[in-house]
Amino acid sequence: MIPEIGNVFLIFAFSISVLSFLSANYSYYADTKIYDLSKNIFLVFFLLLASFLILEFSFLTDDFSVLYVANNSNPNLPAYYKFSALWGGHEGSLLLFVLIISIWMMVFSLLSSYTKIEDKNLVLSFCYLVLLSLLGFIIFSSNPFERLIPIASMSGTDLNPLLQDFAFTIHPPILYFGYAGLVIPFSLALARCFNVKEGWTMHIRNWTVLSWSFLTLGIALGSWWAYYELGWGGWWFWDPVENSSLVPWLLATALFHSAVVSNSRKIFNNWTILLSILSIIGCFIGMFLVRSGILTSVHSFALDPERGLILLLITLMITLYSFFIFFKSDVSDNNSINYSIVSKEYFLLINNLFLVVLAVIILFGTVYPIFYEIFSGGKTISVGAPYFNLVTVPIAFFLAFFQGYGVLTKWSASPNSIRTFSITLIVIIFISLTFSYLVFNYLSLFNVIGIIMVSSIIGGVIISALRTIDNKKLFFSALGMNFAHIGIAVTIFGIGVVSSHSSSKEVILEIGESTTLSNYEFTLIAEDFKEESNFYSQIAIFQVENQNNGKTFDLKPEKAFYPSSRSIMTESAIAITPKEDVYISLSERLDSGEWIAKIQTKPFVRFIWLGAILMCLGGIFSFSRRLLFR
Amino acid sequence: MKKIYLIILPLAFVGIISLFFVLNLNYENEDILIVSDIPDFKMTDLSGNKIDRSVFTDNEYKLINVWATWCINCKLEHGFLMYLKQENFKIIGLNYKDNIEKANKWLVQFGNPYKKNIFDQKGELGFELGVAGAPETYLVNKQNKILYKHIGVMNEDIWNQKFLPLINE
Repeated sequence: MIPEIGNVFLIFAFSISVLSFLSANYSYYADTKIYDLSKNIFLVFFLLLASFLILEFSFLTDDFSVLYVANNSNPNLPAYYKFSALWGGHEGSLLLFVLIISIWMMVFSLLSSYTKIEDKNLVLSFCYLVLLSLLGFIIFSSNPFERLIPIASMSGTDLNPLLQDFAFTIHPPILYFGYAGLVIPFSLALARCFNVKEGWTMHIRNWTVLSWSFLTLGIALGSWWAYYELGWGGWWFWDPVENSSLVPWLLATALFHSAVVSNSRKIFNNWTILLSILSIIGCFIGMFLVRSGILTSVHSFALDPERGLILLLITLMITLYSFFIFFKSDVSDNNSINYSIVSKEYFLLINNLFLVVLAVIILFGTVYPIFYEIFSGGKTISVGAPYFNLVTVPIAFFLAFFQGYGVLTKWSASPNSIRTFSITLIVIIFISLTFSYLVFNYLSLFNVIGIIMVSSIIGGVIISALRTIDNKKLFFSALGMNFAHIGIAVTIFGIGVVSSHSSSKEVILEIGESTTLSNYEFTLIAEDFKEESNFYSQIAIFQVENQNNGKTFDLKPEKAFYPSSRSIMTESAIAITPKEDVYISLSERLDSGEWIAKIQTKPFVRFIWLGAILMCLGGIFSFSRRLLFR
Repeated sequence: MKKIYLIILPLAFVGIISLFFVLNLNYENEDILIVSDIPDFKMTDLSGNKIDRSVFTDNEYKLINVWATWCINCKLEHGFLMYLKQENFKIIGLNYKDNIEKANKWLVQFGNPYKKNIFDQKGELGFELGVAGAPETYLVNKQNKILYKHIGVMNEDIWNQKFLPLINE
């Protein structure tokens, strides 16, 4: 009975969204006044929250008559994971996603004020459009409340053991906050096409920055999860699902930079609208790739081509609808603005161009296997790290390089600054080459590239901060941006060092035997066994000695077996030292009692995620500052 | 850039990839219940010994599992294959377009669920079998006929729903 109530709530929320979308359109075309549609969003939010909680209730009470619960939970699962198992599958995660969209709509309508109620209604109507398409999809084709009738399953399958992990419980919600937030700039851009001009660029910039912050954090959490949970010691795999979160991230990054120009200079307006539309389409294409089962990946969701087709139709519908509105619109730029080749406008244009190209080639690499399969009559290939590294590193290099100088430029700067630009360029290259030679005693292209990227970003940030240090207002207004830019430098530094200075080794050890890697000595001292409610595991205990300072510590990697899903998981053990991570993952215990293990050292790998946290904090700071002191 | 390009280019891009998505969705949707003979072949196994069709000649059901070390999803299904081995189900591996040293290392590292492994470096046998990629799993009956082909990761659900009914028939 209770799950059916959840279903009814979902249908109510759907009906209200349809009604709100239609009435906003009616009010616009018939030019009549209607009530404030933002009132509806509270109702929608509480209905969705209620059905979310009802599904949670089914999970926590082990109601295996609900098909979705039976597929994703198990009585032996700890309560904490029962709670997060809700977003472990397709239907539940989609429910969480629409709930988050409604939260964004609610927060947006609370925090933004419009002089004309009709304008706000129009903005919200496009949010309702996205919401109603997804709600319809949930209700008619992916209903989480579907029952297993007449015979309820007794035990349920299980939550995929890979997902029984802390990072997983927070990674999807945060990522969804990022995706869902892009609905707001999308709606603002479409509303601009209907001449809702009030503060549109400012709103797009602020709301994109906020959802971008969540997206950054979500992607970083996913990468961190893959690093310690998949047991291979890698932090980015160019997996289709990772890529489809990176594409909207890149587009959103381009979007708020372009919105900055539109806001201050009243140019690039059409470009900002286009990017707002593309960001949301990027999210939908990503959603399609993940949920249709068209590409196989570690993030395998329910593989159902029919659902894929519906999702594709929704994507196409939203694409055509928004491009039609964009086509009919008449948004013009301020023609009196001129800018030189070393102006802020020009550098932001370069930034946008590179980011969009990067997004397109990553998307292309991700979907290329699909093209190939059709043209080759069914053969498959996978496009992996070599392609992506080859094409993305050069573009990322120029992005970082121009970023450093870009923050120093002024609006519409005069051609004189070309001289300053050239001098800065030469100085950066010279410093980087010297630094690379001094630190590593040789000039490797990779090191130099990394150092040029990092030093130009940090140099730019420091100089621009020093310039404004006397002017408190300017200093604080750029603080969020500077934070985020330093975050990028920190991430690039981490990537550079990990890619070039990691070491790894596969070993076969019996108890008492030891081996060395880098400056550590590893000794297998004992083995152990442990049993939990839903799995048991074998543990190998390593004593690790740092030969530089004689300090020792223990590492206990595990091999876990989950009986309900019959899967084996490798739980790696990681010791974090200030400089590097020491990483051990077990592969197998031989009959002779020896263990096969992979040991690795990963210098500065934490910087990759530290940088992402800085970016996220910078974004949130910048959003809240503008909100509080506008 | 003129606004019309801002509209046409993205629309064309989205349109083209959507077209391919649709084609591909239908492509994978076909029912793969087939009855065909195992082709005759002469290859080597992963230790370099000669291996041919006679490896399939015995009086029981068996699986052909197409795998490779470059295939991430093969890692995902590996645990289930090990379980099938425990249940004494015979699995013949088809190591597909792979590197022989890496493949042997993989088997030592993760465990070997296979009775025998055919090393198909160029994908020749794979071509005759109609292998599209890895992982794939084929059910072979007592008369050496292929009864069923599953594309993608093998797991307990698929085993129970698709393979067991055919075996129990």
